[in-house]
Amino acid sequence: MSDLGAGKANGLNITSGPVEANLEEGGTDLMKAEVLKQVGRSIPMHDAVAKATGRIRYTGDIDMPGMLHAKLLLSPVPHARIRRIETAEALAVPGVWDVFTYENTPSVLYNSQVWFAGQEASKDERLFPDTVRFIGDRVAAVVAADKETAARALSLIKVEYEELPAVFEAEEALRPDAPPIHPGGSPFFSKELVVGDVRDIWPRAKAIAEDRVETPKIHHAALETHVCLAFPDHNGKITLVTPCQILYSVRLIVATVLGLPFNKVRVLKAPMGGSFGGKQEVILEPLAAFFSRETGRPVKIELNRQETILTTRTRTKTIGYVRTALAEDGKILGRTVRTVVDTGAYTSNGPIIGVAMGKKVFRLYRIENQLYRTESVHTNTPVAGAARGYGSPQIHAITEINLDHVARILGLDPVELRLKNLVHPGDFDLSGGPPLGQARILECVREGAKAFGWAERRKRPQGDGRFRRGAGMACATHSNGYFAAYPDFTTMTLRMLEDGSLILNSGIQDLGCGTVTSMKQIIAEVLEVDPERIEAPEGDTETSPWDAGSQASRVTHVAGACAFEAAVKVKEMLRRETAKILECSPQEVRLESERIWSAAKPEENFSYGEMVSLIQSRNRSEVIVTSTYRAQDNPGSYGANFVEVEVDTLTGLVRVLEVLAAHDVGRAINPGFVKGQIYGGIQMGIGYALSEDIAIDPNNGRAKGDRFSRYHLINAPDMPPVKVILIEKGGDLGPFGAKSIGEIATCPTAPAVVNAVNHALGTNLTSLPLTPDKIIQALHYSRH
Amino acid sequence: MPAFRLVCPSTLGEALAILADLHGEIIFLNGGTDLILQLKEGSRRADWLVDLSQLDELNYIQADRESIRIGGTTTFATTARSPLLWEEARCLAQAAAQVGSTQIRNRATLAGNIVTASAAGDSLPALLVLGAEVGILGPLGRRRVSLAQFLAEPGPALQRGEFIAEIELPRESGRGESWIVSAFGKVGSRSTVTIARLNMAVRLEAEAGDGRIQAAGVALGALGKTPFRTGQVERKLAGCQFSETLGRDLAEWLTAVVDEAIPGRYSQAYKREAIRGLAYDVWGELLRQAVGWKSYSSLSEDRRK
Repeated sequence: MSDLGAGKANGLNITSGPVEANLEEGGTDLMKAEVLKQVGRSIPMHDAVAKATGRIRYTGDIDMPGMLHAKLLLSPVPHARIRRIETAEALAVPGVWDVFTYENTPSVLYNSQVWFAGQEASKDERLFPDTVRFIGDRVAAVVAADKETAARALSLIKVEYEELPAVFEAEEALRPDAPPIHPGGSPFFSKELVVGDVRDIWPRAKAIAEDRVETPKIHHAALETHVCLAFPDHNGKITLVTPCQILYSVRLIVATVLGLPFNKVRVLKAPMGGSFGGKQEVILEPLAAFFSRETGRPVKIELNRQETILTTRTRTKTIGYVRTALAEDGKILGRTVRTVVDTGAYTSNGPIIGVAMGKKVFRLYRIENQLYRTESVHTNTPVAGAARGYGSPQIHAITEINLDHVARILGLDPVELRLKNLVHPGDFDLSGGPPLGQARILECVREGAKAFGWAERRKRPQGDGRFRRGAGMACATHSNGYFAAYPDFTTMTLRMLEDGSLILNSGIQDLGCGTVTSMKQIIAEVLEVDPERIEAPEGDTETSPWDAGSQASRVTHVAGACAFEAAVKVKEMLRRETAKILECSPQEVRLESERIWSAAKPEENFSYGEMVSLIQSRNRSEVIVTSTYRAQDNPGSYGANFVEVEVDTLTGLVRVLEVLAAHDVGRAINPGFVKGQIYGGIQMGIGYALSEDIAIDPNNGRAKGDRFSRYHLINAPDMPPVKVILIEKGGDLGPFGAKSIGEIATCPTAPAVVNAVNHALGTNLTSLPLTPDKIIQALHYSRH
Repeated sequence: MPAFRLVCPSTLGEALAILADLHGEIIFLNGGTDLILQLKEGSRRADWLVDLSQLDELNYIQADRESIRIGGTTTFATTARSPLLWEEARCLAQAAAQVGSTQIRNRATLAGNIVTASAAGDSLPALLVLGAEVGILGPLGRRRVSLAQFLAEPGPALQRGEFIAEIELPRESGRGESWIVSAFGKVGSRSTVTIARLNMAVRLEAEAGDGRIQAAGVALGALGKTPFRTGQVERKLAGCQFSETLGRDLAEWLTAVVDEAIPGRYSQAYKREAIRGLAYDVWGELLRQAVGWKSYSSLSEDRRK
């Protein structure tokens, strides 16, 4: 009897505890299994070896016969009407194929974040505008035989600008006399969410804390800069190769801008060299597609770091005003939160992010009276958009820093305050959002505090010398898909081949988080096969079913559930077809370790491959299932970070000494991937708290942090040791109870770091990032 | 990247012969850690790129009685590892060890750091307090200038076809009863792979017996266009007893230097505070070194008794 994998799998340690999910909590039979064989294993990512050995071919590595290179001319001025563009000299350079400006490209307006047909959004972007709105806006492009020629020709384009008044700061954009960037001016969107009534809570309060918290415009800093390749065929079809997050969003926008039928735009997901939300929106694809159609050649656009920082997307700069009232017993009486979301020069998802932020404030604590109000503004600065957490890092920085402030006023320990107010499993969202599900943030905080030694660290004296120590913590919540907000479903086709191997055909896009391998583990668990026996290629819009994309922390929870259901259905089909061959009932069919037999005749057993071949020849059937999964829940993912810092009161430099992250992930399909997300999320979060800032100069709109020598990421020597606690109690509708981790991983970090610094120094610093200059200034004021 | 032609001489003789025949503008390539980016951006261009990095003849750290000589293609990695420099010019070894990342130190050279002459160049304060001289080779032969003079040059310090062949540090002949310590420190935006927002080197020569400072060198970087030695602080240190408390005085004096160097600049408020932290770091390092000296000298005193 062959032993393909089961022995191996049984021998592997299961890192999680026993599965406790039960039917009442929404589990299925499979989720009750005492020992999972594939789920819970930390097997390597499907392309890890190829990436580590340099054998993988990223989009930037692809060279096609006759391929041209496009280079963009970016605006050097923050706001101007283009009076004239002179391109003749650039066109005359040998090797230049064409030069594109607003004069010879479609004027179709679109919104780069729209991902499904019929989605409402403010469309204010075009390939090349006739009015540039920020330093880095697209003015023109040269398409040439090579990059050098394109760059040389680019310098020969002469542009006459008629400069317009500009605005660089969110709150200045709100002033009635602010120069409008789009018709109607700012705010272009506002919304209020209310629960209870905040008007009468203030007199009853024992402590009130009010803060203005500022979070910076940051760059995603993926190793791979933005890149895209497009090529036409002889029948008018354009194919795009792109490391994107949402294939169908690319198809939608490219087809719209070029006026092509959807089936004449084919989008292939390329290996991802990092995204963090930066490649969620459709930026280079319509340009490359248009250039390739016009030239009849493959065209590649590859941005450098500075271009990627300036002309792709950033995290919204956000100003938050928070006022929280505590009762004497430490219960939160109520809170008002107001945000001003700076979405930069074009709308993108400015309104959605403001609302996404608002939804989080109702899903972390039991707050009966709460008012959230958001306004979105345009500024003459780089465009904001999706960025890991989609508003969550901003709003949790705003509210969690304020919560420590109010705790300080009442003399309450931050952990104690949170334990009194955090949501419980089974709680509802008072603002009317989907139920919170198995919200196990209390366990995160209790277990995290214990493992971190919170009480001891928090009590330890900060010191009065040059170096001061402090401990801080923060909590966060994030979503699991789009259920209750946008259509969220996925279709997948799974088939078993004549040798027992499988192919999953789906529209997934792996962002480097392990989606492909996770899908394999889920299917392998259900079908009793080795994950290596499954191919799960990333999406191709021509052949793969529709998918809502790798966004909204939906992939494991929703697409994973689809893979799970498809596998269950393939198993059923295999049982049914086998029953015909073995002349027994489907219930009598047994499957284990890629062997299949009838309980009545165990001696007559077949490999999966043998059985599939028999099914084909005798039943004239293929073992294939297409299954659509519609998301039916959207529980919260939860996490808490505990941080200890040391602050140099002379240089203002902060060293994060240790971080403990406790996360309620439902179930870790692959604990190695989950931990990887947490380590990376903390690295991003520390940078958000301390050093990362594109830093638009308020005088001229220039980005100070437009290169890595001036944009300071936390690097390996400055990374603290990170401990991880995973709470895995399942119970929600994800595969094996799994919930999201990719975005929530970075949400509690920045406020925890800031709270620790404030604890160390006795300050109330609220303007991120806490640069050495700001820390020295605060100490200076507190001394005088 | 604009077009250029590249020559890679493998001997000094070959290099000089090639240079004599080249027409047009010349740029020398050494580690290339700055230059390659500038070429790519198009901010620098030339007809000829002359690659010096293959000249093994210039890859050395040697010493004779009078001086330590460092060849023009010596990398920071080599500089940071040199036991000789660690012993006699520690501030330079320490500065070299803090330049960029491992990858950058494996390519970037001391000579390149001098030619680039960045205000924040980490080796420059160290070289200044060590009294470095720059040995230049070119079509007109050999010449030598002090580093201070080289940096003070308002225009390009090198003529066409000239390159730095050697850096020379005067070697202490040992004034008998004195000891010498030196240290480098920097403050950046993070602990490593960071451009200095402030850097500093201090060199002290003190009497073995009572630790009275006979000569002091204090150089600062990232305060204005060019790193500089601060004579006023050096003069104040001279004659003082080397002690922990003197470090506090140094910190105060340096705050005044910052105020003079960058008055009204946005970064003044920060740097006048941060320089104190840097002063304590550097002074602490000097104290640690001096403890070594003292225990050594007290041991020898014991022996004499």
